Amino acid sequence: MSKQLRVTRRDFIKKTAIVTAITVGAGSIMSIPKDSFAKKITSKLPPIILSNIETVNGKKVKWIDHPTKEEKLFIPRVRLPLIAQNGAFVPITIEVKNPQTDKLYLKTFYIYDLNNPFPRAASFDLSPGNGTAFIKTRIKLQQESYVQVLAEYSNGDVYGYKRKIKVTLGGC
Amino acid sequence: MKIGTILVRVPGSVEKGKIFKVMSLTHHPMDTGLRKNKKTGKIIPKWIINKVDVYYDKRLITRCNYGIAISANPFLVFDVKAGNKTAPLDFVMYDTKGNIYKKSVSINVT
Repeated sequence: MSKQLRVTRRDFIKKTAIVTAITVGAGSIMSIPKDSFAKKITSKLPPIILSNIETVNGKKVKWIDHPTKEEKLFIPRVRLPLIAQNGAFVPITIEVKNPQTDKLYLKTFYIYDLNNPFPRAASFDLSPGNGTAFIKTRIKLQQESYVQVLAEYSNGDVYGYKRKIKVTLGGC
Repeated sequence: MKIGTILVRVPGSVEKGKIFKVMSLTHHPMDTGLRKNKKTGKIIPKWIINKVDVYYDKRLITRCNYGIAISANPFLVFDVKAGNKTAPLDFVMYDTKGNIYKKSVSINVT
């Protein structure tokens, strides 16, 4: 036997280990299906409408980002869950801090969901006979959207507020 | 429960001039007119309550105009300011088939 062909035990083990590692590694990469990374969950739902409602009953709606203390009394406060588990029953609470007096009172609350084919969900006409402007009800939502609440006062001002909500199971 | 049954919860007695909450629940399917019957494939026709009037002491205090986005068995909570004497609180609901549902409760003022 020549010197070149002689294979030591240590050498043999080293080389076989490298060869098996390469084959196994290559095999594992090849065995993964091609589109397992490329696959994405594509939703059929239309995109969320971000625009605000500008006018209601011919009156301009005020959308205030940084309200002052006085304006905070008039902007409606909305309580909604962050994620609605069942879109068929989404509880919503609307409240205004300003008390209902004969001089100045909240006339109407509007609830809008622009992703709905019929955007106006409901409107509530209140009077000084209600001590405070407070409404609690349940609405239907099909998908993730912005729920917009408008508060119209007896002196003609309209204030708006909107909240984003996610829906896991559509309810329409 | 029969369709159109209105359940109302009010406090047993209220003080003069105080504000109290009224809860109400109506038994109604509120079909939107957009959904299909899975077995027959036909569209379920629209049938909703579209107007609710609330009278306290024979004065209209709250009027609700509902669209199709109000959930089945509509639930409504609102505030009422108590008057000087015991008076009735009346609910009148109108739906798109022309039915009228009524309910009256009396509020004891002490």
